Amino acid sequence: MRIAVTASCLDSSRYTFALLWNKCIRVRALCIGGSHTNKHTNDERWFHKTHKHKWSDMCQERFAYSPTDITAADLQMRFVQFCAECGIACKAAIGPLPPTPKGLLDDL
Amino acid sequence: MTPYLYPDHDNIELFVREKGDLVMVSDLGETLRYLDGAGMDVYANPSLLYSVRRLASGYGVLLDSGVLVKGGAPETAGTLFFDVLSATKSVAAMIYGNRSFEPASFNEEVAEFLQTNQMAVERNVPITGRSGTPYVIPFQVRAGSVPVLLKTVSPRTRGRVRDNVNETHRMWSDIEDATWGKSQRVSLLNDDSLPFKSSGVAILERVSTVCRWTEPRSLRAALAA
Repeated sequence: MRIAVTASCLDSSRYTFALLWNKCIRVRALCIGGSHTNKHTNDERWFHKTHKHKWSDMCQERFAYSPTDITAADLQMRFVQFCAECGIACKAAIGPLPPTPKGLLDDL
Repeated sequence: MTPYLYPDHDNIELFVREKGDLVMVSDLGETLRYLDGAGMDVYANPSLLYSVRRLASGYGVLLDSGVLVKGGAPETAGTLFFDVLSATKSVAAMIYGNRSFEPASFNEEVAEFLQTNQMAVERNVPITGRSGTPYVIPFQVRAGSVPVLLKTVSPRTRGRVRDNVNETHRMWSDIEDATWGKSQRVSLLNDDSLPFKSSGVAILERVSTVCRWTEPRSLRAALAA
């Protein structure tokens, strides 16, 4: 298993922690500040709000809910809380996310 | 934010900005970020990168520094928007080629069946034939008085049925009769998805007990003998 951390290059306050099983199955994913629409189970929606994906055989990775166990405000503690929910003891330290490089958007 | 969704049902968001006389529409890297977070690192795999560029170029969309982007005159903004949206959906759909969206293999289904029927199983058993050829038998089952070797016959395509039957026949023929009698060698045909000709079945019946996946009762009986 491994954990993938990805961040938006527009807004570094939007990032995702994903717990991957067998390198490709997202059993858990925490989307900070993302937007999501449930279709299978209910019509719940999130607009730029934190939500958590949970794998199920019926919905695969498409089901999301509002987590109650992510209470921290900073990246590092949110990561620790995410790992704790997955039953993972984590001692890794994630440094601050790099800012969007100047000129990246200008060239597009 | 659009009502269109990535495969995980996160909403697709597109970003519009002016650049000189042009309007630029992009996903600001969110599509490749989604794939990366799902275990598909496009930039680490030249084949995936080629596929992304190819899919995007079909809509006139470029992949620039991990961003799907298309620019044009302001009056074409609507068209640009839907071109980038189409490219985004196509690229994101590459995740369906991922193993997580494949059905379980036949061997996994059989393993689940054996477990559900509370049969003691050893998997991937190595056996050397009389010719010295090494074989790996998917299952050795202990459900009755004697252990049984279970070989699954599950060709991927119709064209491979005959070859699979021949390979299985060759294997059973090579395995020592004195150690593994015919009743202890079971060929399990995955006839749920592909048909097996009676001639192929007859060939296998000379060297093994033939069972069909669509007839689980006979399989249980053969394993418990």
